[in-house]
Amino acid sequence: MYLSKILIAFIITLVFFSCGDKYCNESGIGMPLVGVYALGTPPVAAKINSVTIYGVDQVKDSILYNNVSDLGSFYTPLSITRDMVKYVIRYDDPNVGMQFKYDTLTYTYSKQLEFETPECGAMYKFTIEEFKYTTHSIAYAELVTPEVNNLESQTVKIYYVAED
Amino acid sequence: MLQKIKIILFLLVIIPFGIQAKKNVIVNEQGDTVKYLHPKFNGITLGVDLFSPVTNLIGQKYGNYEMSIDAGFYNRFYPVYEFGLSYANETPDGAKYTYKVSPSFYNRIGLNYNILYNKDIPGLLFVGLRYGLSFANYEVTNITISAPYWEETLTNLSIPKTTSIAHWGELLLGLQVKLYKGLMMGWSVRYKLLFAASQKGDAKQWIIPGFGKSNNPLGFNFTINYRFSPKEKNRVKE
Repeated sequence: MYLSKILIAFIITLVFFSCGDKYCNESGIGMPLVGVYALGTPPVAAKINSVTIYGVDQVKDSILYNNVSDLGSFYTPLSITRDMVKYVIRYDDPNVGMQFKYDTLTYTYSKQLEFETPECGAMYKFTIEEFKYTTHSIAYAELVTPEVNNLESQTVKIYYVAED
Repeated sequence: MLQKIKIILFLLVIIPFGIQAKKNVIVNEQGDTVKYLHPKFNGITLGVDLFSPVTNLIGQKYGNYEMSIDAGFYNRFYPVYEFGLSYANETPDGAKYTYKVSPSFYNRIGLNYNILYNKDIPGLLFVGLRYGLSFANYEVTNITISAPYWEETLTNLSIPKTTSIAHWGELLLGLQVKLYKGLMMGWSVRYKLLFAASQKGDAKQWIIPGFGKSNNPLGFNFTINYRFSPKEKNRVKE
């Protein structure tokens, strides 16, 4: 009776302390998240319509976002063989004039190989050292944080003048 | 904070069983009532852990090669010292890296408490505490990183070898039974709590010598032991 109580207690303990979550909750590669906002006091989250976004000098000229609408945020994956990437935002609305048709986002960055957890394994941690942008349609943009290590938080915010 | 709560709950479950130990009346040959059935010094026990070597034979790519020494007092208190070498060469299923630990030394010091100390039985049922300390040289190799949008893949990357010191505590429950004369066999189940593991380079410790995987708090030992006992004097009757 005494021995069985001890064994039961320990089995309960083992079940209680069994292993926890085993999933990776960090991005495996650098993917800065860009948020879209409308200028104002304060700025408000916004969405842009009819946009196409692609990386410059991507091998197969693949388009990341192809004439999408209601785009409130988008990812801009970084290259692991280069230290600078450019992304073009093309506004496909036929009413947008040629001088406002394209904007470019440019990231210059460094990377460090790290091992954080067995679930995520080894990955590059990216640090953006310089961020540039054009202002054809974009009114203003800011680099929120130079560290790119989480899919959920915005790295860059771009601001447009809201339509009346 | 959650870890501390778990430890407190664990103790609240286990300790009452120790308190419940029935106090037997022990009477020696002179008719006097004494506290302990067994003599003050029960002997020295040497042990070897077989669990890791066996799991290595069936494919596990990391393990500890461990020995222990303890001394028994009144068959109740067993201070113990455990030490060994640990290594790892682990590539998890589906992972794109290999985690390597060079053969590294570790040790633990602690105490086993025999719950059935005044029973005339050929063995022990014990709870125990340990404090562990280890030194490790480890690295991460054969790393593959991909950037799908840019259609890039880098292979054979590595994070250079680095050193680390780790320390931890253990709570355990175990059993030892006498097989023949001084030869004994036993097992223990352990809950481990990592206090700290230093990190000098760009890789956090995962497989820690003496502790095991940092993300797994449970451990198991299976041991073969031999006890060198002094001759018994003035055997008492319960």
